[in-house]
Amino acid sequence: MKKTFIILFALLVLGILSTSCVTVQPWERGNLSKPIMIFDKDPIKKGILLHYIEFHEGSSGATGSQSGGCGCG
Amino acid sequence: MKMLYFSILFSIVFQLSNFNAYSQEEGTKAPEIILRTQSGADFSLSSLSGKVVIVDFWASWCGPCRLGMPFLQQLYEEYKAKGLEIVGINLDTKQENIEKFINKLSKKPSFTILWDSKGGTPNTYKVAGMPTTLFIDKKGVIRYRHIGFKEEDKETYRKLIEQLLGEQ
Repeated sequence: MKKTFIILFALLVLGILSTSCVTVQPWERGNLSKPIMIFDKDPIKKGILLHYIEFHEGSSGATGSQSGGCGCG
Repeated sequence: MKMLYFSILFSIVFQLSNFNAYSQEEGTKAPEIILRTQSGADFSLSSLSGKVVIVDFWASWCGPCRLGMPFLQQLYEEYKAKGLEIVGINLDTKQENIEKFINKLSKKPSFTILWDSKGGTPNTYKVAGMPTTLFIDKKGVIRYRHIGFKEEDKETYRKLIEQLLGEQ
């Protein structure tokens, strides 16, 4: 009885965990690409640094927690 | 033990049910796009039949999209007379963001800009990254799909356009 309960509980947990992942589509990442979403204690400073890097590397985007929405790497 | 295997299988099935498969639709007929232009006119992709069409899914918050926009305008100016059409589908949630971005550009895009805030067309086209650029041939077949934009892509775009324009 106890074993069945544990298995059922494990099934329930696995079910919840596996369905709790929501896919944020690439075109829905507008808010995630905002500088405030940068995972850093000083996002403004980090934003300025990224702007500097972008200027030097000739790149753009790839900031924020979802890499600016571009799924290109 | 059987129950454990069953639990694992159950978990995998659930995971797979959430997995969004990004199919590459190169070689297939481009699905119809019916939207409104910024000026309020009706637009349908089928009306461009017989032309080489670039469909670009973009948003004002996306860095590579912003980077690619002036180049698309350049391509449009170069190849429009030869039969190229460009359709930019903006996926911003607020229309004012499109205007803000376009007003910042030194040259405003003269090609068709459509707005799809509900995400219907990117869902149909299985957009997997921003920007997604599709090259559609004169027969309406998707020939090439590109995700992202960087300087090195410019040459690839030109070669592809010339190849598609040269086809019957």
